[in-house]
Amino acid sequence: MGTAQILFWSLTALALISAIMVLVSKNPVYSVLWLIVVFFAISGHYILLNAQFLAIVNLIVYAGAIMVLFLFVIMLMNLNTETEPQKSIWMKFFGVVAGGLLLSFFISFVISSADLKGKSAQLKEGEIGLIKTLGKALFNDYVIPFEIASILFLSAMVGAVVIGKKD
Amino acid sequence: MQHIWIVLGVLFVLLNIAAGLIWLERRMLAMWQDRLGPNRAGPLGILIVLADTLKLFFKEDWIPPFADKWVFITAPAIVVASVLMSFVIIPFSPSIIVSDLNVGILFFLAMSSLGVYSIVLGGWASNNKYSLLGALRGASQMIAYEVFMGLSLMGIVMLTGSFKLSDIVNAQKDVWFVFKQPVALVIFFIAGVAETHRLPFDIPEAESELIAGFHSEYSGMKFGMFFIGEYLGVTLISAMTATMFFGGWLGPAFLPPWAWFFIKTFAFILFFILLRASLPRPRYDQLMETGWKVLLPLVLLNLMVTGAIALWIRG
Amino acid sequence: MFCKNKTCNTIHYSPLTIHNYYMSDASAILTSLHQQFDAVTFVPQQTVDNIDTLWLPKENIVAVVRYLKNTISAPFNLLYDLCGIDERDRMGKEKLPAKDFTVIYSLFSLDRNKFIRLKVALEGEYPSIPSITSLFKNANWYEREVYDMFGIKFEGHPHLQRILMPLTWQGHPLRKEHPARATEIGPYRLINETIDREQDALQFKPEEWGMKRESDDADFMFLNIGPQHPGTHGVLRIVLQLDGEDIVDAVPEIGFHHRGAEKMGERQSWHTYIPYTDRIDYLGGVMNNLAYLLAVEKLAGIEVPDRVKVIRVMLCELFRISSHLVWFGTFAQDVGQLSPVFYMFTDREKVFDIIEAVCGGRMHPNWFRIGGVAQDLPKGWDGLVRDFVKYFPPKIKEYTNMVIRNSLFKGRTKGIGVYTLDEAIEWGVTGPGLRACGLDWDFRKKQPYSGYEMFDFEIPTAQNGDCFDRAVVRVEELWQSLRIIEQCLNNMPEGNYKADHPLTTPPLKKYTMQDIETLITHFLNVSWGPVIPAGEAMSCIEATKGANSYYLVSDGNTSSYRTRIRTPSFPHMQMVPYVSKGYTVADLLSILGSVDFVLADIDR
Repeated sequence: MGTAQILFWSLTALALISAIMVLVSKNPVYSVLWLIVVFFAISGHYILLNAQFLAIVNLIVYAGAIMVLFLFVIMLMNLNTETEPQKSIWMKFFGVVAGGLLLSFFISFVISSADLKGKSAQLKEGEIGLIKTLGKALFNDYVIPFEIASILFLSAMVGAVVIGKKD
Repeated sequence: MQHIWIVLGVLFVLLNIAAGLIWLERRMLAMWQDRLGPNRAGPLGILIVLADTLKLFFKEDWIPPFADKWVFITAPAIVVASVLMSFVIIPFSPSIIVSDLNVGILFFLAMSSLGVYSIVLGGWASNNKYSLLGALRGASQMIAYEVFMGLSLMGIVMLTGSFKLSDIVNAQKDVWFVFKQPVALVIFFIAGVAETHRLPFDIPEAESELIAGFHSEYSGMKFGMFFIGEYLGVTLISAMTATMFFGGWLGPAFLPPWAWFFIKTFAFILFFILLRASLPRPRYDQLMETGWKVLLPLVLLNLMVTGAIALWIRG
Repeated sequence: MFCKNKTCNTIHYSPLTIHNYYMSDASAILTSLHQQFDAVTFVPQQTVDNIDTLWLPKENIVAVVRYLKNTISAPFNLLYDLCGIDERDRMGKEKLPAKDFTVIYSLFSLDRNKFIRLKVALEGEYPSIPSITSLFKNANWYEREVYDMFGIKFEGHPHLQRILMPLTWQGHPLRKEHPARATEIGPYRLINETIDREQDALQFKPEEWGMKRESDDADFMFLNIGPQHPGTHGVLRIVLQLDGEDIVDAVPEIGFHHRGAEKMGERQSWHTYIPYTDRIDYLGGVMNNLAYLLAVEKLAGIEVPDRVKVIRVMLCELFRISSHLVWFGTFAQDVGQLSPVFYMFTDREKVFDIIEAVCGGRMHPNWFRIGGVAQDLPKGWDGLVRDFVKYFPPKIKEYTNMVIRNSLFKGRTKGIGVYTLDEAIEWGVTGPGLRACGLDWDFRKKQPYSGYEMFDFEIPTAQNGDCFDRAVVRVEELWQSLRIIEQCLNNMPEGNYKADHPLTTPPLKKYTMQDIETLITHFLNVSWGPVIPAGEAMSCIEATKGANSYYLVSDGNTSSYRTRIRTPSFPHMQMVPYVSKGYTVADLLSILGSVDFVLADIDR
């Protein structure tokens, strides 16, 4: 197994374990911290796929800003397991069953899909993830969705300021 | 094999600088305040560093029983780890650079966003109203000023065409970027002071207002870690300013390139200390207002003007 | 008064009414009071300091105060002081309407430049009297202090609780049966019960103060600042009710610095009390001696020579500069500027060099004496003072540039902690806090004492009444103090450094070696202490922080019967919650710094 393979499997394991810890942690702050670990693992995966820009931006935006805001809300709301209403055991059981069904549906879809069979991801090859190519693609082929997305962000910001303003 | 020596060497130098800053800051502050500062331990008082470090190590490692133990312990580690990681991309000389990433500047911004966590988690884990107030204010301040820091560097990226720091240093061979991007320099430096929460932006740890803010429950080496993290942050911003705007290791040949780099970095470190000695502290809402209402339009304007001039030159 | 016998046609005058008749043309206030309240018996009392003093029954006090504050022309709108006296041991009280306790209301009229003193005689072990908090907002703490010290209850007071003594204290200290020394009380033992009781008393219960724990939208956070806090300049506890970052209400808790100075006045002789006064406003040094001694000298009838007056003025102004330098440095430091305080303390060392050469001591020289000063000025004092007068002006300019003109400093202080002139008068603010609202009131000009009328200086004022203006006023006062010191330097009169009066303590020694009578008097004066004739007198000076008064009651003994110290910082601290409503915690520190209080001044 080459270094890339070792890295891939360890990052996968890290991502999966952290994701499970997100669900299992009793303390909501711990859940957020495990989610940040998940994002680090995913960024690692992106780097293996040579999408460096995406990896770093994932860190800056998701792990660096959005998760901090999650933490703010959780800290200010002061949630504790004692105040959390306890769900009944049947609800948990049916939740697991429903989630498992969804997962098996996705896996069967991927396995049965023809053009994804037999290909492995390109590791450390190709130019797709580099910033130059990404920039060219964004501003040439996808310029309209890009501009619309920026207007969407602007409206969200303005909305937040309007709602949060004190009169 | 060569690489491991570079890594270890950079680490060694950085930790020594951070420790040495303890002494340097106290002596410089004292000089600017008409007093002596530490001058007894060792020649010129330099062994104060050893004394302080030993003192911190020997203090009782007390974790408040009401605090969240694991978060309390990891919070100081995060700040040191993230700042040390940021040094990975800085070119000390043409051959000494730990990892010349393609996305160098973005990596620097990513690591500074991670630094916010140490404040938020440190304040929360102390389970103390004072610390929480300080932490939340510090976090908002840091997130806001990260935006300006990133945007101010984008002008240079436009002029260079690359995120790699070694490319940026090489692009300054004829003229330093300080002459081409003066507004960006000012904004980057201000944002850098806010990022490292030093005076005049040290509201999270404002001594006379909230005692020690988010790190008021910390003692011993964990407190020491916060301080090392702060000094490393100061060194980082000084190093980045020297690299991005003042030519990094470029300089006349009578000194080796790394010497030029260190001279420039130290000049900015001294400027950080001078700021601490001289300026009062703005109130939190004044700080945020100035950021969003003054700095953001300025940095966007700078970006637009740089882009326009770059297009005009090229075309 | 008409004779009660209906057939009798003569008009009988009771002795008290005759007294009223002869006194009533002494002031128009009395006549208008008599016209307004013809059923009430006002008994005037002649005091040594010539302040109108009237006794009246307790049922009428609220109505009379309301009349004096609102209705009369040029009203008495400043409640200057509210204190109590335990009259049970007083000699010679048959001549006065006094019974067991007396509550004294000192009102001041800025328009008339006059004080008026209203006294109410109370009977019984723990009497009660209606409260005037509905009329004067700053009566609140004064009445709490009288309750704390004497056990007199004020009906209608919003929250009558001890203020200077701990909440668990048994007894009321200024009552004559309360012991003054710890050796008279009994050994103190700290058992678990005591610890629990004390800790419980320290717990802050918002409901007692009329504060709600939550509003419609949010919970309020109760934040405790102090007693140990670098920003409060002393041992002070403030409990803040916060809505997020904004202050909804605040409750200051004082009394940590209370040392029983007023009780000590009753134990110490007139002469040996002088060191206690130094420590009331510990930055004011000799200025506190002056306030006390002006009252003693009024009682004793001593006129001091001009040289004494000028020496006293010079030293007081030096201490004013020293105190303002401390204020300046610590204010800048609170706002975040760490360096100026070091420079200002170096300048303060130069002031202390002069003071040490003259007085022998630095912060607590206790150098003034009854009737003069302790010794003559040393040879070479003028060189020291001249050096300082040359050295200091460029420094003030430097500090003005460094701090006052700094835009971050202005951003932290302009528009913060604003109060109007009417609010200042309502709350009893004096000193630079009042002058920053636009009124040029300074007791050195309006009621000159100790020779200030001979000097040429200006009173700086400002218009807005915010923190920045108070800072600017104090910096200007540095210039004016320097001007006064220069005039003292150039015009020091020759003469004796002590008055030639039998009650001067210690007396001039020149005849003691030759004349047995003088030796006996000298010996008695320094051992027993002088016997100051019976009477009451109040001195009022413009101290570094505001108006400082010593109200001394003597019943012809070697020590004072009652020493009441009216300090400027007490009403200033009372006003802080009112001023800081709506500002943030960071602004609270600016406000505390601009108020310039000294905890020892508040607590005595």
